[in-house]
Amino acid sequence: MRGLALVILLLMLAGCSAGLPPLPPQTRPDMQSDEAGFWQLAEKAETALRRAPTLIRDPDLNRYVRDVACKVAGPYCPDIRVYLVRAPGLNAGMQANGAMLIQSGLLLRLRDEAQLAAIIGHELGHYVERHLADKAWRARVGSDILAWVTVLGQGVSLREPNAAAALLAELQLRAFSRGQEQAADAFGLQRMAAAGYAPIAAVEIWQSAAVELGDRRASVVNRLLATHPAPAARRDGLLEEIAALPVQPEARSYVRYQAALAPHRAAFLADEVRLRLPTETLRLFQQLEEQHGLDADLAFYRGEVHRLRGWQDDQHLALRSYAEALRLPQSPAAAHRSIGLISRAQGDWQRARAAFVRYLISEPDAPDAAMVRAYIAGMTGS
Amino acid sequence: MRVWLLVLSVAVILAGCGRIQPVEREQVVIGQGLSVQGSRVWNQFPTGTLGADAAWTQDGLPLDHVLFIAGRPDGEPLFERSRSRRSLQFRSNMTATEIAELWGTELALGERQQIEVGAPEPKVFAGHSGFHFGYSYATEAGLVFDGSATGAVVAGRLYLIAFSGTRAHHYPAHWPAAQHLIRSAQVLVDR
Amino acid sequence: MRRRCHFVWLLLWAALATGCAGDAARLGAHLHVSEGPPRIALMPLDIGLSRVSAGGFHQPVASWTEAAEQHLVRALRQVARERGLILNQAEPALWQEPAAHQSRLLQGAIQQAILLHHFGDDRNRLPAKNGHLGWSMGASGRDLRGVLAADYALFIHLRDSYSSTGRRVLSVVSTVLVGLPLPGGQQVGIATLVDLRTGQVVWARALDRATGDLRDPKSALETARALLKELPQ
Repeated sequence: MRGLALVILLLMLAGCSAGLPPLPPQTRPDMQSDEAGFWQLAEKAETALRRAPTLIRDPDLNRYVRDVACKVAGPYCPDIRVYLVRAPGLNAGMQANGAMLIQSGLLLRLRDEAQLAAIIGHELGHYVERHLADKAWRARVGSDILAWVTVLGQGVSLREPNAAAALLAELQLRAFSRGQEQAADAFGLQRMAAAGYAPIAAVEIWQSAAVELGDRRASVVNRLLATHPAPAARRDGLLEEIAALPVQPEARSYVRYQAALAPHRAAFLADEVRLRLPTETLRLFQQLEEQHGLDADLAFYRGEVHRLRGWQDDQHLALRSYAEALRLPQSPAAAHRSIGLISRAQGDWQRARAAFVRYLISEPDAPDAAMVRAYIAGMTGS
Repeated sequence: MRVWLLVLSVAVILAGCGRIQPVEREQVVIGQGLSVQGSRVWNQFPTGTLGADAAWTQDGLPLDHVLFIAGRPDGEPLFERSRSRRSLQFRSNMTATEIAELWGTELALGERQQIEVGAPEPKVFAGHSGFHFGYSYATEAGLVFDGSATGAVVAGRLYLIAFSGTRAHHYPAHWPAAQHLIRSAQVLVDR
Repeated sequence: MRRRCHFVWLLLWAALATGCAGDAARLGAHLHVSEGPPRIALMPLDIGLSRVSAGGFHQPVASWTEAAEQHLVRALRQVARERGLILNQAEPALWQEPAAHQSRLLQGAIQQAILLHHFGDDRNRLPAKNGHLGWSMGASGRDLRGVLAADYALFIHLRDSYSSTGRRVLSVVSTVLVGLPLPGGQQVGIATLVDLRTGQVVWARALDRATGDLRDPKSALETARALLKELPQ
């Protein structure tokens, strides 16, 4: 009975939060508050982040993202700092104190400025609505109740409810986290629309993510355990919010966004290839091709994904991609080297030698020139 | 985060899988017949640490380590943790370029950041024509490491010695000792 | 995202021999300087104070940490003065330099290595070191010498936690019902002294105790004494 009472107590917690009102612009939490503790940690982490080797320091790209952030943040512009971090994958994050992290893998996936505005608006929502402090409060109260359940349960020999209570507390925390994501989505939509960006851009991000990650139908268990809503649920939630918006602005700024990204795009593509998640990466590249058309870099890196996967058909598909890359302007010389590697593996030494020679001709100062010459020398006969 | 690997390996050591052993200045054979001799005493982590065939250090896990891949056959991954992923298998017909690419992926999966893998160059290893490439990465905290891998494919098996250490001190400080190991390497194919 | 670094430290504390209040190691009993008293630069402190909730959640407390930084700096300087040493705070702006920031990260990694391989479990000792405190930050330590105008640099990493009322009440209940009190606040940390001529770590001390306080100046002085115990002179 007592165990049951505690489980009911946990259930009652479901509707609770720390009840913090939205943070007004240019406001710091009270120094005596719990929230101030998280701010202080975040400030120390931010000091280190500023010197981090992974920080993308290109002043043009940083200025561009900062300008978009300011437009979206409006009165909160002085409160947030955006840090661009070199790492593959779709990820962004907000620290308690307004330090926003955007991974290069996310920049690669976004189509235009409106999508960037959607991400910034979403992350800003976490900051203004003080989600981190709220979630920490929930985690703490949940763990306190659990500790009481455990101690009292031991004393009165009520062991079984403990495991159930632990699971319940964890599931609640994750549901809470999903609720925060949805709240941040709604906040972001308001902000991006106010800044004049087409709100549908927010929906597209989750549509693309759903395609990239595959249409695996999430099991009930997975959905309960997720800390983020499933992309499809997220898309539906956003569509409802958009329908309720008073205005439907249309700005996208495709060209400006892609121009800011251009100097880094090849490096970001290479980062994705290195992870060797061929199925997801090929889906991503397919989407990029549909959005922007095929360019030499994209064709080359698609070939690289096939070459590194090395399934039945992949050598053929890779060679076809390299051929496409070489027909396009500004094709990377490395395509010749990759053709050489595949041909060598296939035992087609003549073709391999020819490709390696072409690589050395188009890239005479290649740092691996001596190695490639050794490959050529190692293939004697035909 | 590079730290993931560190945490995991710290956990492995703490889990009581054995103790750190000295490696004296004499010939030792690792895995499938890779023989080396140190110019100084090294510390050897318990088997399985960092997933290589052997892992040695001068100053400890957070600062420097030598990893040995000693006779990896076709179809097996460089590191034990990658066993379930087919695209991470070593292939006997791989070139140095492809081995360096594989190394880059392993670093990325080890939660390292800002990974740079240099161009491979031809280099004689254990009397066989092999390769050498440099690499660098940062831990999640942002500490920068330099590294260098030297190896060769002998009779279809990969033999490789990789040394990593902090750029600020441990790589330059222990590189001569690591280089001595690499120069002393012999592959005992006909045992 | 990106909060996992602290996990390494937690594991290292777990690895430390439990129950002991502190562990020190040094290369010699004396500091060597050509003339005058040894000048030590106190590096920006890496400290954090937190409150442990009933369930064991560590809630960082900003006001405690801020006050503790001031108390501890004052207390460390007093203890140094009593020992005839000159301890001056290094300019925090120093860390704006990427090279200096790398030195700080490097020393942090060295402290982790010392905790794991020197003060830690026997099985994790590095046999080639023969029990000697043999760690160095090399040139990156020597580079600090000119910047700091000091002979030695003192690096301190400290985490200090205190039981909340809820934790104390639950501990009493647990003692009554189960016979086991819950662990309360802990003071864990490591201090290292680096000779800036060589980059060598000449002294290290690890703290791991259920006592100690940094929230007021008087208790901070006790912690400073515990931390600098057996510091060479």
